Amino acid sequence: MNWTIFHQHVYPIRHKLYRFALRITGSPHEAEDVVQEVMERVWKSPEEQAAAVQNWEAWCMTLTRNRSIDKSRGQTQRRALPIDHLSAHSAAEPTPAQETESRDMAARVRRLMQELPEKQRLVMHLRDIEELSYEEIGETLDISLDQVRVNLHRARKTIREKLLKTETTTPLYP
Amino acid sequence: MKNVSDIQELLDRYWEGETTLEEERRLKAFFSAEPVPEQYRHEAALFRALLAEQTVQLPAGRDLHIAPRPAYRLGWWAAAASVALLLSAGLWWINRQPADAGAPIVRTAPQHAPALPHPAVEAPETPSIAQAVPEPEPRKRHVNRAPVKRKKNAESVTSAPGVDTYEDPEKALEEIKAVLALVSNKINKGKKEIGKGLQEVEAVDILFKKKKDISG
Repeated sequence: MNWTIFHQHVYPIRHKLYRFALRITGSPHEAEDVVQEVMERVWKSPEEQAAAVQNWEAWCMTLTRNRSIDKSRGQTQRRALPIDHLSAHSAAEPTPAQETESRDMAARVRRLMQELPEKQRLVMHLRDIEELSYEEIGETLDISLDQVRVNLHRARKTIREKLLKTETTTPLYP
Repeated sequence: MKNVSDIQELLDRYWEGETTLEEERRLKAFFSAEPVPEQYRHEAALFRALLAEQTVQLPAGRDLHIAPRPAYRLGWWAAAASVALLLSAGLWWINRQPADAGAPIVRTAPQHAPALPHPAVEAPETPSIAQAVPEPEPRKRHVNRAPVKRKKNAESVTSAPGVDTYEDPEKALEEIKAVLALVSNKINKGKKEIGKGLQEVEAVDILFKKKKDISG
């Protein structure tokens, strides 16, 4: 792996890799480890392998997904982890009032997203948070475009229904 | 700023999964701005949460440690060189086995335990060819010319493998060294060919691994 390529294409996407790992593992600590391991793996990749890579981001995301799934395999408590950990390192600096309100709403949305089936959750994450195209999502998750569309549609529909249901029981704006 | 009917149309398409990335960015921008119409409270919550998620970062204190790549290629060469050295030493040791301490250097090998045949010291099977093409000095001498411990049956001696053919032990040693150098050279050539083959195998292995990574 060439140092220049690494700094141009791989290092800048570390936050994106971290968010993706966090979405899968649900643990900031494990997500950090995953990013570290992926960076090491990419850096130590042989020259021939590096030369064959067409899309660095897609490749790194795929490695992150595989490593995250490996790490969370057998971890049955993942869904029960505090969802607030997902925003523990947000770079946004809202006012205290906004912070309280948005944290409450955001935590609710995150919880709903985290409850989605894995494929739906990852497709929605890659589309609505990382803003990837359908093709890039399909490449990263190794699924067809039709599967991307179907999973995204189902994920959004579920989120909408649950948001409406949650709102009736616990108002978003008290 | 879009009007409410435009937003509603975009939202309907968003829930169906039919919006483009640009349209989805417009929705996020609309719902992150204040104030948002009351009927869109839950949509606002969703898009603001999505925007907040985009700002999540790897903890600032977490440094990524990238270790230098291991020099595993050097390790391969070192291993190959070690094997070649051991092979050479083994061949040399096997060839010197019959010449035990105190035993005469020039002698015939026992028939029940012949030494390993060696291309350079082995007696020719057809004496006529050996006579027709004399060996250059300092090469072996024909066994029939050996002055001591000559076998009565010359034919059986010439066909026996591992027969010592030197009067001068130093010459024999020189010959062994030359043979070992030849063997070492051949091993090195073979090692290079193996190295080329290994590189090709590595390339194929990388392709398989990459395909495996992509397929998850």
